[in-house]
Amino acid sequence: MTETAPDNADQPGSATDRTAADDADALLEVRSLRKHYQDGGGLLDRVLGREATSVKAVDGIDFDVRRGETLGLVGESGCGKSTTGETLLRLREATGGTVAFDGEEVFDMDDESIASFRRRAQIVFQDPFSSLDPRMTVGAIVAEGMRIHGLPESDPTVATAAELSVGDGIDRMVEVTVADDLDRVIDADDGVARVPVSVRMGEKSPEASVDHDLLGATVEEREADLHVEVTVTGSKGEIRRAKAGRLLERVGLSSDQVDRYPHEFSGGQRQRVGIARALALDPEFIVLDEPVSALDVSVQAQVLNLLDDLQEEFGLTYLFIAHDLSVVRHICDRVAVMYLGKIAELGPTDQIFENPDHPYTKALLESVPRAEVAEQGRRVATLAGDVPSPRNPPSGCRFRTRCPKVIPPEDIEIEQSTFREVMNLRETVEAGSLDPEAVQEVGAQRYREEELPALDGENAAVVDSALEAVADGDHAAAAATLRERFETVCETTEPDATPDASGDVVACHLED
Amino acid sequence: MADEILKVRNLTTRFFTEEGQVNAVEGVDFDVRDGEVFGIVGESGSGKSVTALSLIDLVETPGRITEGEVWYRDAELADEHRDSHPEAVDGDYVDVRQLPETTRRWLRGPAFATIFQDPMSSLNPTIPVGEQIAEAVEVQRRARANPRRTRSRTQGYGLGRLLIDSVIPSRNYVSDESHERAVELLDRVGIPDPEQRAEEYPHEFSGGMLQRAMVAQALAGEPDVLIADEPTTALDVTIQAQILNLLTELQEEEDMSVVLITHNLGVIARMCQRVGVMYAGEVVERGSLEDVFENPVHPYTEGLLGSIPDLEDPAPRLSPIEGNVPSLLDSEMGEKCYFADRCPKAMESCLHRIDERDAPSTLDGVDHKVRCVLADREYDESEALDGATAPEVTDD
Repeated sequence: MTETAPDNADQPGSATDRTAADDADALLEVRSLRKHYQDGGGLLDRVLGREATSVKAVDGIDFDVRRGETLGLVGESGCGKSTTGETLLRLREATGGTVAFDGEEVFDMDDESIASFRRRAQIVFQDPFSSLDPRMTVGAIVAEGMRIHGLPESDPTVATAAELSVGDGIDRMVEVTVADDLDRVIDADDGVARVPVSVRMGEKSPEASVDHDLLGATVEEREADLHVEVTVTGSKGEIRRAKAGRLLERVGLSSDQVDRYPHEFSGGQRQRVGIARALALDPEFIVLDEPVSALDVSVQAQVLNLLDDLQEEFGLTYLFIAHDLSVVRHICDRVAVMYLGKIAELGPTDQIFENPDHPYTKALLESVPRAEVAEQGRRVATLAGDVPSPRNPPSGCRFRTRCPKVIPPEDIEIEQSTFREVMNLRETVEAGSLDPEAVQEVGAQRYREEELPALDGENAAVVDSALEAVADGDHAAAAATLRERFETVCETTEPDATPDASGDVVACHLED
Repeated sequence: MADEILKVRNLTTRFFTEEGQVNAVEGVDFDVRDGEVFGIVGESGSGKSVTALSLIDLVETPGRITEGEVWYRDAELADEHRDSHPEAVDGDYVDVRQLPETTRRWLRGPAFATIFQDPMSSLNPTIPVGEQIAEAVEVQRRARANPRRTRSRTQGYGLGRLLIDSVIPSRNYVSDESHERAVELLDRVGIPDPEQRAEEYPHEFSGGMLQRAMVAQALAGEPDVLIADEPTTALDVTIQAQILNLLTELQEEEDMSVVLITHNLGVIARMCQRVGVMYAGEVVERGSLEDVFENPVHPYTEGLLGSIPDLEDPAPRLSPIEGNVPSLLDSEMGEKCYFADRCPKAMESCLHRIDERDAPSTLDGVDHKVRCVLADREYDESEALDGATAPEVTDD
């Protein structure tokens, strides 16, 4: 296994502009990545005259993953974090945007470069039950990648050498030659694959032996000396199997288990098999797609520690996708928080967790129940409602429909919490879901006093006239009236989500 | 206030599978007090969900409750059965398991109600949400009117029913009052526009809304004890916070007792006053939240707490429990502490069956019980088990 040292060699920058400081250490550069899924638009839909809608799973995100770091990608279900992971590995076809891996555009790669990219970038999936083929042994699962890529192959830059030990009764000089492809079997240390060979006197003639299943040694008696030759005797399949066994041991299983089937393992053990499979090709970059969320806490901790160790040992770069914030805090160097297909905030882990800027990040952190006594009875200020549909995401800032800090227009005077309520009313009016009868029953003014008690002055008058329009069944006019007075920057303008010089993002107008 | 609404004694549930007898729940004891939230926490396979099902007698074959009593406080019911079933009555308490089947059935609703983990698969996708809740209301209404006849609806669903309904509308099982009550309940659990939502089908609800509907259904019988089995596991954190707030609110207003089953220690900390930790079918430690979280005695509890990353103060390295959850097959379990194989503090004396012992408690009137020899003695290295691979001892 070769160790990829995080060298800071200059990488050629890709098409988009960014500062030189970023270029130096970015292994993966994602720019305006989009992935939309088409829903409908099939033959039947066309016959029925239905229009295709697109689900905007990932809708223009920019970030870098730096060499040797763990970048966390967090968000609630449906925010597009898994789609991001799969799209940037080209497991799904992107709708738009670019991804550069080590300076090379992933989406423009030809067959040969993509094969090399697939070796260097791997993925561990969330569900350890469905991501392993139940009809393959775990040894075959781990070795499958090597088989597809025709591995093991020998590295011409690795030298080979033998450590000779001579037993009693050998009085002649011994000369050893070692096959060039020894590094397929023996791990190189400092660029040299070294094998211990011992020669001793057998019953009639001298014998040489190598303490390795996949290597063999032969002795040839010459006039002045003995000539020992070490060759690789194992087939490629046997070598792969041995490597699979070593990998299983590395991830905390036993090499005797190569012939077992996935169903014989528990969830945590299967996830270890998935990690061994990802490591088999000596990758530099691994997308970890919720690798511990299917596991119990005690097993989850084991796997997190393992991931930590492997990163250090092999110099790996991780993109860690998760919804569990405490896990992210534990393992990540930097964190990107996603909401509805966009990045809301990105920054160093400590800054995100101790000093979050984006209201969504704050709300997310506030919601997590802590496992400590002080947590008892803590009432959380929850976000209202559900995440909007990605088919028809809100204009401007995606979070504005739930944001407790939605910004009132500058020219009107209104309390923050009241403005939030007004915005909620606008949502229901714009969706046409406010029942005109409910307003008629009590009258516009009474209805407003009950629903929005803190509203006064001109604001109240505008809401009243809008509610009157609702009572007449004219939702469009009501919506227009409300929009005219209460239109906020959060709905008209999309907040800037391009990373700053240090790679941080806070996509919120409050930061402007 | 500290009266027990529910006393569970020696509850034992086994599954008789082809591979052998599985001891899913093994001699579980706990009490649930009036108006409290009692938490049961454990990893998957620890028997916490089977415990919940055993409480309401919903264990399906090949499982069977083989032993144990579930004492439920109901003076009226106790009087009613004092003569006919003397063995099932003790003061104001009745042993639910020894009551006749019809009575037991009647108790599901006004005594116990359950919320399950996955709202999507717990509701019928072919019936409007409101009607499913109304059905629960209706069953309770009819049961109260005539406790002897507790049939639920017998008519079918789907096309057949649609045709029959259009011909004979009076065949509706669910009365209008029950429908109104269902809408009230939906409103109660914070579903906006409840009248319209009541007509909608489960697929039109989001996960959080469905879980609210499940809560509404559970409230239909105005239960004394609400059993919530992983009520927020399928939900995102922001939605989880909404549901937890809702449960707290309802519990306080309705003065219910709640048995909250979850694997999430954070949820336990936020919601519960007392907590039981389950491992391999046994309650290994139970007591007040303070005792269990801050002075845990059982090494498993300690290990569990050490395994979770701290959101506010992350440790550089987690201290996990080594190994995996043991098999619950009877033939492989034997008579010993089931945690001994993974326990960093396993000793010779752990190879015997260990009963619950008293451990020091910080709160008056709240027992701290532990199934561990360390309850009343210190760990002694000279008695350490050879087999125990003694990984780094979990710190603090």
